[in-house]
Amino acid sequence: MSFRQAYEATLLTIVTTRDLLSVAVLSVVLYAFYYPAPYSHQAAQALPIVVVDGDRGVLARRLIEHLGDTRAIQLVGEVPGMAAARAAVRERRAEGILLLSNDFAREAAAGRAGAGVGIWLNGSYLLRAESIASALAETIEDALAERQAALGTARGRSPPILVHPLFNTTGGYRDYIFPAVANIILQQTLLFASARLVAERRRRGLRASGLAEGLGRWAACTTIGMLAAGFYFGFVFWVQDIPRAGNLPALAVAVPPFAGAVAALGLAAGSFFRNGDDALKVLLPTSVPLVFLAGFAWPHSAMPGWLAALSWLSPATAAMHLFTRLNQMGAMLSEVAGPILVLALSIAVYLPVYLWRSRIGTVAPDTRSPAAR
Amino acid sequence: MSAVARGFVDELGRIARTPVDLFLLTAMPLLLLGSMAAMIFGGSPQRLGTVIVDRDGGALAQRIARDVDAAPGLSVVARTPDLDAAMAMIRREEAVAAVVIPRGVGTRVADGAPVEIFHQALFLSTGALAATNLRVVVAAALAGEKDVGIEADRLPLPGVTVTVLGNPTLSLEWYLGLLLGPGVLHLLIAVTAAASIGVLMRERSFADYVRGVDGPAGRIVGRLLLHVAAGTLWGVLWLLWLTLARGYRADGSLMLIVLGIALLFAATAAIALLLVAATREVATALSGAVIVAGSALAYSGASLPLGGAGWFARFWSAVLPLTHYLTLQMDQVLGVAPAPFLRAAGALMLYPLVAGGVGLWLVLRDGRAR
Repeated sequence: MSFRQAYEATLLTIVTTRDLLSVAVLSVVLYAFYYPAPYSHQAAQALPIVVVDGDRGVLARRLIEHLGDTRAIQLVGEVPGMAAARAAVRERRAEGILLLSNDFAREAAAGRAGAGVGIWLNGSYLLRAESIASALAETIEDALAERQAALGTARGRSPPILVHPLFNTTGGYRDYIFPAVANIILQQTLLFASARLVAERRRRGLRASGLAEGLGRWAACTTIGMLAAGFYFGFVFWVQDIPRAGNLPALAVAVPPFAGAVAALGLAAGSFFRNGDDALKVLLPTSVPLVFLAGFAWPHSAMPGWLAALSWLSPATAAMHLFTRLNQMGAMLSEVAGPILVLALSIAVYLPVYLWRSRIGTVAPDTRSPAAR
Repeated sequence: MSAVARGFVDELGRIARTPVDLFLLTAMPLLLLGSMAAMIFGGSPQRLGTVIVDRDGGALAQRIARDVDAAPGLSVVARTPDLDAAMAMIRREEAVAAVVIPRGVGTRVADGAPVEIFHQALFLSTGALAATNLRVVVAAALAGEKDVGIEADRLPLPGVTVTVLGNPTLSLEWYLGLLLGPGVLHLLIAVTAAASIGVLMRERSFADYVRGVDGPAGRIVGRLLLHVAAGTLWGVLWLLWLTLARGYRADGSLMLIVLGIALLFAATAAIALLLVAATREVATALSGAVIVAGSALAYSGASLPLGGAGWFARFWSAVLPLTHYLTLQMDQVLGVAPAPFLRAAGALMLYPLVAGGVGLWLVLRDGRAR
């Protein structure tokens, strides 16, 4: 079979085989909307807290009024003492407790900001605890500044500190998670499809007739991957309003090595399985670890060196460090040379493995009755 | 021997004879959990790279740079007067934040010009951590304070007495470990259980199997029980790793968490049965398992709470069993009253009854069909 015949036959097989079409095309479309949905609101909202106000002075009342100004927290009740507040946390009616002691106003007047304030947080959900802490910090700071301004006691010596989130200017959770996970989605869908394609050929006793046929099959899978990447980086990011810098010429250079590396890995991996179901069974459970090993939620610098090095065997790791820089950070091509090189090396390793494996070995089908299995 | 026990033994024999399935229940969880354990072993990310953009060069600017480098969570990777150079370092992932110190900082020359902190918000977990640390350290340096306190590590509340229940050391290893182990195993067991039921089909029908064995319902339950047991065993080992080996402590009951793990995998197996029985195709059922279990961590609300999310996300979160398990588990880490535990455990018990019941009925119906 020639390169062109293999290329066309592979594309035709993918679009006419229900399993392959559903993994390589329909899943790509589904995950574009399914995965970001739980993050669409971007930030924690209305986390319930209770207040124990032992001070009951003007400043304490003003601070409690300010609690309603923040989006992250919601005051669900004022309780008379810590026993009732702890009960609210234990019964899961509150995520945190704000205690203002009876010397809160006196401490604030003495310039000891924060003294006289106690906070208890449910730390089992650490990110919720951080959201509540940040909101409370802002509220306390605002209330104290307002009080100092009203009394004319503001010191005003320290310059202000401004914090600017870069490349995700709202600091939104969806805009943090989705651009990174999109690379895993693109990898895993193409990986599953190409591995299944080859494993099923092996089950049916089909071998590649030569180098041209193997390369044609790889080129067809790479084409599917490039189209999927174009769909995400163009249409989906635009529809979902993900921050995007739009370096299109650089993307045109970077997408083919990524799609080619994933296709080569999928084809090579698939050639080691007896059938398509086995390929899916082994590859599917890798999805969750590969998300974390890509290095966006947990940085590579905090992993053991050997694990960080192994994580680059997954093309999605290089893709995450490549496409977030190009799509969101506005990097130039020279600033992504490293990840592109890794992808090129991946092709140089995975593709020969597939081309070698595609010429050898078929397997005997399991003909036993279901009851005997 | 009862039909359930025979099914369990049948499945044990099948797995022992099938290298791929044996690998999936033995070496695979070891590899996946082992890699996750190694990843988070070091605790919270430390020495986050910071660029100091120093436009002043005076004593206060020097002090800010020194304090930033001395903070345990931060490290100064470069000093430059050029913000563009700092931005390029952040784009190349050589730094996660930059602090811009204006000319005349702390004097009248600055004329109220702010100290600015730029942080990498695309990798929000590390970028925000660096920004929180930097804000506390810089504020302390500007105010001439020496010690910013232990809370400065993750929580921006200097001077405030903070008690963090369930995770007093603010450990990311404990927090992520509690999510990753169940999340990884949930998907793995959904796949192995679906594949196990899939092999009982011939030409998209269970008729041969149902007619060919005694007590097919019990046998199918027995086969699935093996996957529930394997998932529970690995889940317990993961919990023991976090508690006994790594020294983290739940304020509630570990035994109730173990019960929750068993209920999670019973729910997982029941959903896998329903997926195969409804789709009649292993590949489609496996794709369904990934949709149900692969994104379950995202929908659980354990990272970003779902209050404020759209109706679909909140509805689907309530449908997925991992949401209820993580609620049960995190509640026990915190140490809660009995009612929240009973709510979560009750929700988990519905999956074997409803999804498992419907799945079993669909399978057995094939045996009656002519």
